[in-house]
Amino acid sequence: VDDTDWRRVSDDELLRRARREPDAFAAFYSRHERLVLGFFVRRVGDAEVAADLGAETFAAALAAIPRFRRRREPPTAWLLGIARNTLAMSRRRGRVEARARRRLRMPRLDLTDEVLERIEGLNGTALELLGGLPPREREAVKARVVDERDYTEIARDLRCSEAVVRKRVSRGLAALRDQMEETK
Amino acid sequence: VSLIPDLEAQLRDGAARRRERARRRAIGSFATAAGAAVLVSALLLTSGAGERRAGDHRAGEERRFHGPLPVGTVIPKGDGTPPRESDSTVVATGTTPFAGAWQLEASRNFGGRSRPGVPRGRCLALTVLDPPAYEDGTPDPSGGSGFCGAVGFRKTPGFSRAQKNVPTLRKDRGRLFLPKEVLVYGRVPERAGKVVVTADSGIRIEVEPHEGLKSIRGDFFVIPVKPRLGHARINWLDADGGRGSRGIALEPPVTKS
Repeated sequence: VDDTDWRRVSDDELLRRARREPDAFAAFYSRHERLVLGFFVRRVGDAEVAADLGAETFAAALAAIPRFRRRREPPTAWLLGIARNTLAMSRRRGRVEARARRRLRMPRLDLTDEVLERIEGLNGTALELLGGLPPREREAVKARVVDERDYTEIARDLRCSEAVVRKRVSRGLAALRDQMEETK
Repeated sequence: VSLIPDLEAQLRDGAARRRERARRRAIGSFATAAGAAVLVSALLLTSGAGERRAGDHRAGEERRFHGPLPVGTVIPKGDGTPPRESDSTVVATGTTPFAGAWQLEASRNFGGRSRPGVPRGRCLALTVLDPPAYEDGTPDPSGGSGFCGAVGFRKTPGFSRAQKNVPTLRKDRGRLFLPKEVLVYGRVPERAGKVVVTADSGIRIEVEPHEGLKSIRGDFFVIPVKPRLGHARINWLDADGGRGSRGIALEPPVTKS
């Protein structure tokens, strides 16, 4: 694999290499920013807040990289788990959490109207794309990512094993990511 | 092309700074461990339980207390008070509201005649460095607690739990001195994002585990809890907040006996 062509490197590999190569994490960010910002803008409805929450999520992910281990779930599920925690913590405290950004000494984001417009444009994109997934994957991704339900609960409802749900979520997220790449 | 190029640049800089810090820490901990190995006997001797003053341990100016050793320090076999049975590595340090400073050490028990009945395998030992006295002023002679192997926790691989009462449970002339704080400690798998104690009473305590060392498998936790919480369990959560294992029940005096 060509070291500079991050598009050909898997997410797991990007996170592994990010411990030593800052460019690998930048590539991971670039690949998943739409997924994370879309996740937030749909929940908070404000592009600026979504951008701050997104920045905190990626900063927390960067801090958690030494703990990251390859698992059955794709790294996007790990990333969205951090996003959910960031959102929950921010709601509990009544302000956007910024602890991880402070630790990394990251300055406040300066967002132009154009950037904010593009983030607002993500509101709905993923949901629209969700409609393009095969029904079983759509159901699993919606239950896990949009409705934030446990794998056990989803498996019970869909009458299948947890492993099957995880596989459907994994495939669905990968397909969504590819579609979002195409819509860039 | 990123939606927020500034953020991409900030994260790249942040990753570079983290890498540099990790590199410096690795060099620093090697130098510290080498230096500390020479000093460790003297430090531990002066913080021995016999020299501690009775009464309010936090009020004393004259108390002879030395803080915990840096994480990564190796206490060689035979050094320290009590003398270590095998090389022991400091894996986490911290303080709690009542017990004060603590130090968690990991080691291995290779068996042998000197430790009959102690399971072979990895050991974990918690030391309260300046154990507080009982409310009647009597000093608590026990500053340490530990266990080896995974006895009783075979269904929760990589996850263990032990408890250290501070001060130690004591019965004197019919009077029962309950601990003021119970330190629940142990090891969790490296993928654990949180360690959580839940009790029937609705109490929920969540902490982030202490990151372990490269040379020692697992992360570690020390959670201070009040005695008599009711039926309580401890478990670890993954990054998504999913339960990591079936959990382990806590023992008296955390649970009501």
